[in-house]
Amino acid sequence: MSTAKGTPLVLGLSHLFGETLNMDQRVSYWQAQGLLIDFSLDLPVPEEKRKRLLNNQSARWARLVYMRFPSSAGGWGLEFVTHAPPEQAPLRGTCVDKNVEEEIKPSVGTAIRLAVQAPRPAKWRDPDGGELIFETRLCVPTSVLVKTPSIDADGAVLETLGFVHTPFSVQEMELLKGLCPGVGGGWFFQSPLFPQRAVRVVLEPESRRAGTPKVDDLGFSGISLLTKDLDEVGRHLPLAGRQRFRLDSREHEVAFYGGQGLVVEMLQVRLP
Amino acid sequence: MDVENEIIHYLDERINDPSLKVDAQTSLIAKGLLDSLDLLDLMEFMERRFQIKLDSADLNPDDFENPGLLAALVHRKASGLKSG
Repeated sequence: MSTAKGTPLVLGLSHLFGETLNMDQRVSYWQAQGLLIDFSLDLPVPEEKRKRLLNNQSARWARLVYMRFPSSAGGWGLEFVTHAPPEQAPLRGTCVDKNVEEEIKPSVGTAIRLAVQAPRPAKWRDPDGGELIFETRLCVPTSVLVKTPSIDADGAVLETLGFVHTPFSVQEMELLKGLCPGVGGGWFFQSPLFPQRAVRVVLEPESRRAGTPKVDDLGFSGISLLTKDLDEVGRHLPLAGRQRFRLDSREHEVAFYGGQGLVVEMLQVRLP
Repeated sequence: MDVENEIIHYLDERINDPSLKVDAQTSLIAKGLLDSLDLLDLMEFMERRFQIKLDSADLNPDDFENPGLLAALVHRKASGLKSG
């Protein structure tokens, strides 16, 4: 796999996403930490995406709630998702149905953590295991720590998208030795036009994970990357679950790539 | 309308701030008038309206700083010249 003419296929980090057992509880948790709801919507679940669902492959609808810190406007956000079975479609009114809560069983737990530069250190773990770490010493704006059984395979995917592998700096090593011991470097991407969306992806060895990751793993299950050309990405990676939806004055188009431990959503936004 | 004025007109409508009149020298990025998604919209507008193709190699912040520089980028791309 290689990038097209060495041109990056991505523009930077859009957000982390993950399934939730109780949308109200999880949203309340992050509101208490200072995040605001950007938008929420219900979407049909494409057939191809259902194959990437672990807990509820009969889901016909998904409810999304997108949140961000006021200070991260123009940068990363968090997206929480509840996939619902067909008899509850479309989801309306209260965010979580008791039946959904009973049907969904926790899977592998949190596989992705987000470390962000901030004035004061903090470590938050939400009710579904989603972990956000605020660090004062981080040398890059945002680091996503991803557990994977194959660093080589997922690293190759990141390089296809335009990421470059670099060793940690001394400062990063000092910080990350506590978060992901034994890892000496990660994959970095920054577009000069979108510096607030720069991201370091750190792949951590994980031998316990059985099977491929699913888009509805609890906690944070995948990362969403902005792209300007979803078609071009599709020429380099087999994308699944391609879907368009309209939000305010923009059209969003998403598709997924499932790696060994890495689940990547590619997001293109454009004028309708 | 020429390229520069079309870009200014688009930005005026997009930013939609009665207290701000966009002109060729209005600083778009340094003043934080456009966030990442606004920039993507702007690129989409320029590609569609002026029949050019911008790729990642064209995303130089210097070219996006104001409408005058954006118009220059459009002219370069339309004439097949490289960015920068």
